[in-house]
Amino acid sequence: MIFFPSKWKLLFQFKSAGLYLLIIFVVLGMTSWYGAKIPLLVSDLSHTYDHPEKISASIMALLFAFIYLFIVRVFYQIFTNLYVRGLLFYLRSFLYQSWVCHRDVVNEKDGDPNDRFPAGEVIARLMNDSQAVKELITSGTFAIVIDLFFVFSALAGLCLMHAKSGFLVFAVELGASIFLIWGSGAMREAFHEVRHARGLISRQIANVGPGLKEGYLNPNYDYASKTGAHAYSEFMNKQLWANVWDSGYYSVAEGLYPIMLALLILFFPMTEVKEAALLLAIIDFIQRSINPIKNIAGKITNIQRAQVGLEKMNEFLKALGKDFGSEKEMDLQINVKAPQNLGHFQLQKMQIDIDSFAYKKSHGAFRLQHIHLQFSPKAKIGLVGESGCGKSTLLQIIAGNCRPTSGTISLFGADEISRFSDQSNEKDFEIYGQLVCLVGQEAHVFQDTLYFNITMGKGTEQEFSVFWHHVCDLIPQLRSWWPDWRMNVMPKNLSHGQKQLMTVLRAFYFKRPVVLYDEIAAGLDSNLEEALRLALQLVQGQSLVMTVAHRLETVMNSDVIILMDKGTVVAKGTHQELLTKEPSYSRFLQELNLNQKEKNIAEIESKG
Amino acid sequence: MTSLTTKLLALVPNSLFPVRGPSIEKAKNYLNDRLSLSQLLWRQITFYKLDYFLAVMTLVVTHWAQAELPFMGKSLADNMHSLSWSDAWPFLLIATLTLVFRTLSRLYFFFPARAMERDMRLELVKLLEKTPPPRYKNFSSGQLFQILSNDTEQMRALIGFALLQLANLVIALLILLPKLIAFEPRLVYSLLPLLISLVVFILLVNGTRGYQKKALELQGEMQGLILESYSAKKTIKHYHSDASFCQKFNVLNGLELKNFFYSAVGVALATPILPLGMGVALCHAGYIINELHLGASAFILFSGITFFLMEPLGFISWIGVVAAQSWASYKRITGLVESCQTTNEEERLLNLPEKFCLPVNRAQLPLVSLPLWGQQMTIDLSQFDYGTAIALLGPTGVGKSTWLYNLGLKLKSEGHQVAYVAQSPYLYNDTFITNLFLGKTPTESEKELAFKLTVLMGLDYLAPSKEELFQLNLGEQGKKLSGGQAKRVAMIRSLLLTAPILLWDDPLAAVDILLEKQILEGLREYGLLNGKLLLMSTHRLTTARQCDHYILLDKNFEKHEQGPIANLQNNQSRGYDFFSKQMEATLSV
Repeated sequence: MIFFPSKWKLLFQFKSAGLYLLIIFVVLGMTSWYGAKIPLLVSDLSHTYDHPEKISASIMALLFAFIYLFIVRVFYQIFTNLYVRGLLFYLRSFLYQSWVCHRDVVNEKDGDPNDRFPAGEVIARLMNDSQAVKELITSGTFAIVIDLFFVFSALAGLCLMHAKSGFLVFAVELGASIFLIWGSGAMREAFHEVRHARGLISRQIANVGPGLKEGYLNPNYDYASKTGAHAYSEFMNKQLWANVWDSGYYSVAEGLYPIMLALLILFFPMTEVKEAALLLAIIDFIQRSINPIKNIAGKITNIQRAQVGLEKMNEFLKALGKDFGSEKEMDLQINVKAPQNLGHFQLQKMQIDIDSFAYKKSHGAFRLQHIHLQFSPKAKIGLVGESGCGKSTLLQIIAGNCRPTSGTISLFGADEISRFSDQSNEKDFEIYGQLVCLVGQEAHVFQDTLYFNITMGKGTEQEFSVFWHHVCDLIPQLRSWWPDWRMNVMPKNLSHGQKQLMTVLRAFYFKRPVVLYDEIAAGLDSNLEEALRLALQLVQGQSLVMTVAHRLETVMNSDVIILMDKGTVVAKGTHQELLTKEPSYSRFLQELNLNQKEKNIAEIESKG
Repeated sequence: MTSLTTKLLALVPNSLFPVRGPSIEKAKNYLNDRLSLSQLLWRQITFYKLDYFLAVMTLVVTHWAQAELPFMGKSLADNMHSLSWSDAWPFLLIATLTLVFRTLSRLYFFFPARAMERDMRLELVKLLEKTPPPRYKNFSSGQLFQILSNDTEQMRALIGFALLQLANLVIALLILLPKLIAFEPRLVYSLLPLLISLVVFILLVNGTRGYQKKALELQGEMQGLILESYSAKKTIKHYHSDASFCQKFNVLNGLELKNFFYSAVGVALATPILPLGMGVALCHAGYIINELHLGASAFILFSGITFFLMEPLGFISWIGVVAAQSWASYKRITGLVESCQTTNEEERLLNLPEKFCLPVNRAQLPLVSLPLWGQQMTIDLSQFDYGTAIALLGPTGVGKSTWLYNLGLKLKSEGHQVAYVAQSPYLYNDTFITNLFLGKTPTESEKELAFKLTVLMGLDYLAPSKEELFQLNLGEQGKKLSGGQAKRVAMIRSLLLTAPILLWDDPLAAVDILLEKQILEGLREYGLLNGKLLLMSTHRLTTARQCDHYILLDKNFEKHEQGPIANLQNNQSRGYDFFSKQMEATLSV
C-alpha cells in the first residue's frame, strides 16, 4: 500500500525532479559506502585498546568517518529540501489552476457541481493536504531514508565481520520493523477520523466567520459558538483516542533496545561471540539502528498523512476531471489554454431554441419550455414577468451557466456559427463563452485596483488608460468616484449600485457581441442612475443587450419586450404593440399600481 | 478489536488514562487576561495540576529505568564469559517499565494540550460573536480563519509536544549526569562536544525564525486568495481571467515556498550536527578512557549514556521550531483579543458607551444621534408609533448602508434589541430552518409562523413540502439561493426575532413590484409589524410609497428632510425633488 501505486507518479513529474533525485541517490550511495565501515572502525577501538601507538590512529579514523558522514548528510538535506520545494510549488499551483479553470455547468441531471467543493474544503485540499507533504521535510521523514541506508550498510559491515551475530541482529530488527509497520497500518483508521474531524473544523470556521458582522446586531442565539463547540469537541476526542495508539506504538519502539540486549544474552551460546570488541561493535550498531527504527514509528504516521493528503488531492483532481496518473507533466507554462481570439466575430443573428429545462430540485416550480426566439445584432431586448417565471433561469442558460436539458443557443457570425446546447462540451463552451457576457446580481468586485477590476488582467495599461479617458469623458461622474485607476478598490466601501456600474464598464471593455443583464438594482439616485444609463447606452451601442428588470421604465424603450409566465414566452413585441394587442400585458401593467406620473406616461404613449 | 478496547477503556477512570476530553461546561478561559506566553504556560499547569504531576512522575520512572541500561551493558561486556539465561530478566523488566510508563507520560502531557486547543478556539469564537465588528475590521476573513484554525493548533503543539520534550530532556539530564559523574567525573568533559553541537544547532535554527513567520503570513494570504476566488468563481470564469488568478496564486505560492526553503535550510544544516557531536564526544571519550585505563567496556557505558541523551537532545530542534511558530501564533491571537477588548476609533466617533448596557424597557423608543458627513444627525424615534414603516432615502454614496448599520450598533449598545437585514445577507451552510432560527430550537408555533412568512415571501416553491423545505440545505454562503431569495430569507429571519426595531437595508431591490406589494401588504395584514418599528432603506418610489414616513439623507446637511409619505407628492418638498429627478432621468431614456 505504501510503496508506489500510480498516484505517486506525480511526485516525479515536474521540472528538475529528475536532477534532484539523481543527486540524492548519489549522496545516498556515498553514505552507504562509509556506513559499512563504521562497525569495523568501532571494533578497532576495542582491539587497539591495549596498543597505545595504534589507538590514536583508530580514533582519528573514526573521527574522519563522522565528519565525512556529516558533510554528506548536509548535502542530502539541502537537495531533498529543493525537491520538496519544487514539488509543492507545482502541486499547489496545479491544483489551484485545475480548480479555478474548472468549467462547472449546472444541468438538470447532476444539479450544481459547486456543491461538491465548499470553500473550506478547497482550502483543506490546497493548503492542509499539501502541508502534509511539506511536513515530510519539517518532520525529518526524508532524513529517515538516509538513516536507513546508513543502518543497512552498517549491518552489511557487521555481517562481514561476524556473520552469525550480524544475521541474528538483522533478523530481530527486521521482525521488530515488520511488527511496527503492521501496527501503524492498524492505526490508520484512527488517523483518518482525526483528519476528517479536522476538515469539519475548517468548514465550520469558514461557515461562521463571514456572518459575524451582520450576526452581531441580531440576537443569533450563539449559532457560531454552538456549532463550534460541537466541531471542536469532536476533534479533541478523536485526537485523544488516536493518541493512545500513537503513544503505545512509540513506547514499543523504545522498548526495543533492552529487548534486543536480552535476546543477545539468550542467544549468546549460539552466536559464539567471543571478543569484547565484537560485542562493542554489536551494541554500538544496535544503538545506532534503534533510533531510525524508533523513528519509523513517528515518520510512518507522517508518510501516512502525506499519503492521505495525496489521495485526497488526487480525488479532488479527479472530481475536476484531471488525473495524476494520466498527466505527463504538471504543466503550468501553458497555463490556461489561451482562448481562441474571436475578436473578429461579427454577430449576424442570435437564435434561442430551448425545449426543456428545469433545476434539479425544482419540484413544482415551472419548467422552461418551448422558447423560440430570434434577434438581430445590437437589439435591445427586455425580459419581464413575475418573480419565478423563469427569466433569470433563461438568462443563466444563455450565459452558459446552465446546460439546457434539450435546446440550443446559436450565434451566427459572418463565417462561423457558435452554439451552446445540451450536447456542448468544454471546447464548445470555450468559444461560446467568449461571445457572451453576463452582468449579474452577484456583481463581484475584487480587492484589487480599478484597472484589474475592469480589465481582469487583459490588455496593457496603456490601452486601458486610453479606454478610461474615453469613458470618463462620456460619463463624468466616474472621475469623482475613481480619480486614480491605479488605486486599490475596497469592495466593502462601494455601494451596490457602484459595483453594478463597474461590472457594466467591464462588459463594455470586453466588447462581447451579446451582453446579458440580470436584475439591475432599480431606481438609484439620479447621479448613479444617470451614470448607469450612459454606461448602458455605451454597451447597447456595440452589443446585443438582453435585460431582466423589475421596472418597466428600464425596458420601455426596448426594441422588443419578451413577457414570460410559468416558464414559457407568452408575448413578444414592442411596448406599443403589446399594450394594444396583448391583454395580459396591460393587465400586468395595471396590477403594478404605478404612481400617477407613470400611469400618465403610459396613457400618453398608448394614445399615440 | 478496537471496540473491545474501547469497552475496556471505558472502565478505567479518565484521570488515570485520559481518552475522553472534558465536557463543554468545563471549558477553561485562557485569553481574557491577555497573558504573556510564560504566564499562559503557568496557568495551563495550574489548571491541570494532576495531569502534569502524573506526567512528570511517569517520566521520572521511565528515565530511571532506562538509566540503568548503560551500566548493565558494561557489566554484560565485563562478564561475557559467565552469562546465563537469568541475566536476561532485568532487561525484560526494564523494557516493560519503559512501555507502560512512556505511554502514560505521553498521554498525560497531551491531554491538557488538546483540551486547551478546544477551549481556546471556543473562547475565540465566543469572543468574536460578542464583539462589535468595528473592533476587528482590520482582520481580513483569511486572517481570522488562520487565527481560529491554525494558530490555536500551533499553541497546542507548543503546550503538548514541546513541553513534553522539554520535561523529557530536563529529567534525563538530572538522572543520567549524576550517574556518569559517580562513575568517572572526567568523562563529563567528553560531553562538551555534544553541548557545543547543541548550541550551534540552536543558533542555526533561530537564525531562520524570520522566514518561518513570513511563510506563515503568506499562507494566510494564500487562504485569503482562495476564499476570494471561491466567491468570484463565476466572474473569473466568465471573463476568462483564470490566467491572472493563477498568476497571482503562483506568485504567492513561490514566495511562501522560498521562505519555507530558507527556514528549512537552517534545519538542514543543524540536524546532522548532533550526530557529529556525538561522534566527536565518543572519540574524545576514547582518549580519556584509554588514559585512565578504565577498560574497554567503558566504551559501552559511555556510548550508552550519550545514546540516552541524544534522543531528548535531538528534539530540541523541534522545540525551537515549534516555539518560534507558536510565539508568532500567540502574538496573532493576543493581537486579535486585544483589538476585541479595546474601544475602537470608529466606536468613539459613534459615541458608543464603553460598557454595553443591559436591555432597556421596550416601550421607550430612543433619540439617536449619529455622525453623517461630519455632522451629527439626530433622529427622534420616539415620535413614531409602533407599527409604522419608515423609508430611508438618499442618493447613492451618501452612506445609507453604513448609517443604517451604525444605527444598529448604537441602538444595540444602548440596550435596545434590533433585527438587521444587510444589503447582501449572509446565509449559513446549513438547513433552511437553522438559518431562520440559528442557535435557537423553535417551538411548533414558531415553525408555523416561519412557514406562513415563507409563503408570504413567495419562497414556498423551493421544495415540495414544508418538511423538505425546512431541511433544505442552503449551501456555502447560501449559494443555492439567488440574491433576491437570500434577502427574503433574511427578512423572514428578522421578522421571527422579537426585536422591536427592524433595520432593513434595501431588501426589496431584487423583488418585482407585484411581489413587493404582496409582501408589504401581507406584513400589515398579518399584524407582523405590530409592536415593531421598521426602518427600511430603499431606492424605489413604489417601495417608499408603502411606508408611512420617510427620512431623506444627503451629504449636505441642509438637504435632510423627514416627514410623512404624503409629503412626497408635495412639489415643494425635497423628497419630491429627489424622485422627480429619477422620473426625468427615466423619461429621457
